[in-house]
Amino acid sequence: MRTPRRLPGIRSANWMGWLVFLGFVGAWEILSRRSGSLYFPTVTRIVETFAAVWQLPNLSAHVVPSLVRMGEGYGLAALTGTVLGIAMGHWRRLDRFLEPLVEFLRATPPPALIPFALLTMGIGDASKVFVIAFSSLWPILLNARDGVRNVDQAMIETARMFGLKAREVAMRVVAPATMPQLFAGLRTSLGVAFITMVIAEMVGSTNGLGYFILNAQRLFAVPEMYAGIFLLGLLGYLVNVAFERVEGRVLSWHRGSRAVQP
Amino acid sequence: MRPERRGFDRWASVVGAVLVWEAVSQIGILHPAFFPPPSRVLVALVLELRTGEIPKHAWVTLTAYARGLVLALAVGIPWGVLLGRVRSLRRASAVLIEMLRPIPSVAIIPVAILLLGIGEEMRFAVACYAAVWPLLFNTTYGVYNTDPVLVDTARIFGFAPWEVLLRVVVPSALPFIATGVRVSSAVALIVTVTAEMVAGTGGLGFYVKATELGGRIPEMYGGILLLGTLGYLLNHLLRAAEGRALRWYRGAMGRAEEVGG
Amino acid sequence: MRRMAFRMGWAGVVVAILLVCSVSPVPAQAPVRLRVGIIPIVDLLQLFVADAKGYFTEEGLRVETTAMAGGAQIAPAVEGGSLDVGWSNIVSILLARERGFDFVFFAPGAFEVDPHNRVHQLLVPADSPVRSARDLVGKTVAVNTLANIPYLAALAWLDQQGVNPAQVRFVEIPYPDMPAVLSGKRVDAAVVIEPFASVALAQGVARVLDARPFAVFGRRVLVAAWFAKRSWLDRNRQVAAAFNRAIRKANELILRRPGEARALIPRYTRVPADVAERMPLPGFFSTVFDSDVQPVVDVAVKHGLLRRPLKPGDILVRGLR
Repeated sequence: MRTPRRLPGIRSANWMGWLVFLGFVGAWEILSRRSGSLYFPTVTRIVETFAAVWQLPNLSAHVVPSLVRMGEGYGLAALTGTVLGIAMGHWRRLDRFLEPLVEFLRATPPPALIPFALLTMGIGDASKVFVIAFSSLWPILLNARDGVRNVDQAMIETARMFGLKAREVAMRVVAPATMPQLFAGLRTSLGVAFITMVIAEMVGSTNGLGYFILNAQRLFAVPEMYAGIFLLGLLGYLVNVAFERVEGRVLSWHRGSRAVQP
Repeated sequence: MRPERRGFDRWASVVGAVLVWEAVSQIGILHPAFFPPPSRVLVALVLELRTGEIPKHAWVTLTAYARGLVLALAVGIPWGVLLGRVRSLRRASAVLIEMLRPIPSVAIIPVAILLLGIGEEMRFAVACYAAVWPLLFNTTYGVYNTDPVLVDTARIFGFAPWEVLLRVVVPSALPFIATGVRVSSAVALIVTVTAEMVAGTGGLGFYVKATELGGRIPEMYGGILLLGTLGYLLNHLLRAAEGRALRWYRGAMGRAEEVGG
Repeated sequence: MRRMAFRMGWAGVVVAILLVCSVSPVPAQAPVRLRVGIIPIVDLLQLFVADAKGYFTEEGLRVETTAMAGGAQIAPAVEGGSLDVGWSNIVSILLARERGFDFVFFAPGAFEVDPHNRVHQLLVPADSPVRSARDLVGKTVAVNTLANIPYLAALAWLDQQGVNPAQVRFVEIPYPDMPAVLSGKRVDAAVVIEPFASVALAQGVARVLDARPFAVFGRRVLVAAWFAKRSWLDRNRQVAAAFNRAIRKANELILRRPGEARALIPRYTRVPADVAERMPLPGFFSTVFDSDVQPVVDVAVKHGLLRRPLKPGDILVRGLR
C-alpha cells in the first residue's frame, strides 16, 4: 500500500491566497461603508481599534489566559483521543462497549455542559479546560478509530506473512496508514478547541478572548468586538501554521521510517 | 458471540454511567437540587413528553439541523473535491479559510442576527457555517490522498476527467468523507441547538433555555438527555447510510473495473 | 314602482360600493403586526397579561414574540430591523446610547421597589463566614453580567459600606446557575434574582447578606423596559402608543388582581405554578420618572461604566398616550 501524502495546507498559500483575503477585506470595506450600520463598522475602523486594543496589557490579560486554557484542553483531548481512538479501532469489543456512551456524550452541546462544569469544577480554569477538552475530544477519537479500522487488512496479513512482529506491523503498516486521518482529526479538533474556548469563557469568567468578545458585545463596543473576532481568526491561522509544521515533521519521519522497508 | 451478550456489551457503558450519576446525586456529592439524579430527570422528561410539546420542539430542531447539514454537504463536498484536486484553488483559498474557520458561530450570532434576522434562515446559516469545515477538510484530505497511479491508470484507459473523479477519486476519498459527514452532523446539531438557545421560538435548544430560566432543572437535564439521544440516533442513521453508500460505491467500482478490463 | 325599485336598487349598489371603498382600507380595523423580542422570565409579566387578556388585540396590534437569550441578542435584531420592539435592562440601553445607537425606552417595564417589590438579594453560601461588606475584600462576587444593573448595585453597595469595589473580584454567572454555584461555595457572594434567590434559600445552600442591595439607588429604580429605535418610533408613533397603552392596562390588572396575573406566569415562562404563586414580583408602574433612572446613571458614571453622564431624557420617550 502507498503511504498517504500529507496535504499541503496554509503554508502552501502564496500571493493568490493573500490576494483573495484582500479581496474579502475590500468587499467588507465597501459593503460597510454603504450600509452605515453601527453593527457593521468599516475595516479601517476595525484595524484602528485592533491596534489600539491589542497592546501588551490586553494581550496578557485576555490572550495569554485563553491560549493557556486552549492548550491544556486541546492537549488533554489529543492525548485521550489518540490513545482511546486507537484502542477502540484495534479492539472491536472495546469499541462496542464504549460506542454508545461516546455517541451520547458527543451529542451533548457544550453550552449545556457549562452548568455542570461550574458546579463540579468551580469558576476557575479547570471548568473551562474541561469543556474545551470534552468538546475537542470527539473528532480526534473518531478519526483515530476510523483510521485504524480502515487500514487494509490484506496489508497487515501480508506484513505478518513476511514475518514482521506485531510491533513492527503497528509501526510500519498501521501507524503510517492511520496518521493522515489522525491528523485530519487533530486539525478539526484544533478548530473545535478554539471555538469551545470562546464558549467556555463566556460563562464564569473575567478574562480571556471569549470574555472580551462577549463583553464588547454587551457594552455595544462593536469595533472592539470585531477586533476580538479578527484576533481570533489571526490566532487560529497562526496556530494552524504551527500545527502544520509539527504535522510535516511527524509525517515525514514516518515516510522516512517506511523508506527503510525493503 | 451470542446476540444477548452483544446487547449487554453495547449498553453496559451507558448503564454504568447512569448508575454513577444516580449515586453521585443521591449520596449528595453533588447537590440533588442542582444536579438531579437520572431517575428524577427521567420522570420529568416522561411527564413533559406527555404534554405533547416536546415532539414539536424536536421537529423544529431536526428540520433546522437537516437543512443546515444538507447545505453543508452541498457546499463542503464539492468544494473539498475541488481543493483536493486543484492546487491553485487550494492556494488561493487557504488564507481566507484558515482565518474564518477558527471564528466560532457563537461570536458571529449577533452579526448573523443583524444581517439575517432572527428567523430560521439565521439558525440554519449559522449551523451550516460551523458544519462545513470538518466536511471540507476531510474531503480535501481524502481527495488529495487518492493514489496518483490509480488516477494515471484511469486516464490511460481513456476515462474522461469527470469519470476519473467519480470512479477513482471520490470512491477512494469516501471513508474520509464519511467521517467528515459524521463530525459535521454532530456539529450541525450542536450549533442548531445553541442558536435556538440564543434566539428561538421553538426547538429543543429553546426548551432547554426556557426550562433553565424557569428554574426547572430536572426538565432542563431531560431536554439535554433528549438531545444526546437524538444525536446518538442520528449518528446511527448516518452509519447505516454510510455502510450502504460505501458498499454501493465499491460495487459500482467493481463493475466499472470489469467493464474497463 | 318598478322604476322606483330599479332606482333604489342602483342607489343601493352605489351606496354599497361607497361603503366597501370607505371601509376596506380603514387601518384601525386591520391589526398591525408588531415583532417583539422577549426573554421568558417573570419580569415581562406585563406582556404576558396584555397578550392573554387581549389588550394588544383591543389596541389593533398583532404581537409576535421571539424569545431570546438576553439583551445582547435582542439589540442587534432591533438594530437590524427583524424586531420592532425589545426588552432590555436599563444599563444596556445607556451603554448603547453612549455608543451612538438610537435605542430608547418608550413603554414602562419592571421596577425594583423597596420594600414591596424586592426581587434582587445579595446572598452568601449558607455556612459562609462573610458577615459584612468588609469581609468580601479579596473575595469573589457573582453577578449575571458586568454590563447590568445588579453589578452596579453591588459596586455602589460596597462603596456605601466603605469598601473599595476594586478590592473585590466579580465573575459572571447566569442566574439559573447561581444557586448551584453558591451550594458548591464556588463564589463568596452573589446578587441573585427571584425565583432563584428563593430556591437557594429554600434549599438551605445560601444565607442573606443584604436583602435590599438595590436600596443604593433609592426607594424605586427602573430595572428594565421596552425599547425601540428612535427612527422606528418616529415612523410608528401610533403603533408605539398602542403598545404603550396595552402595557399600562396590564400594569393596572397586575396591581388590582395580582393573583390572576400570577396565574399566567406558568403559561409564558417555565416557572412552576407553585413558585409563581408566591414569588416576589418586580413593580410595574405606568410612569417612569427621572428619579427612577438618574441614580443608575450616577453610579455607572462614578464607576466608569459610562464615560459621560447621560440625562434620563436621552433614553426615555415619554408622552406616548
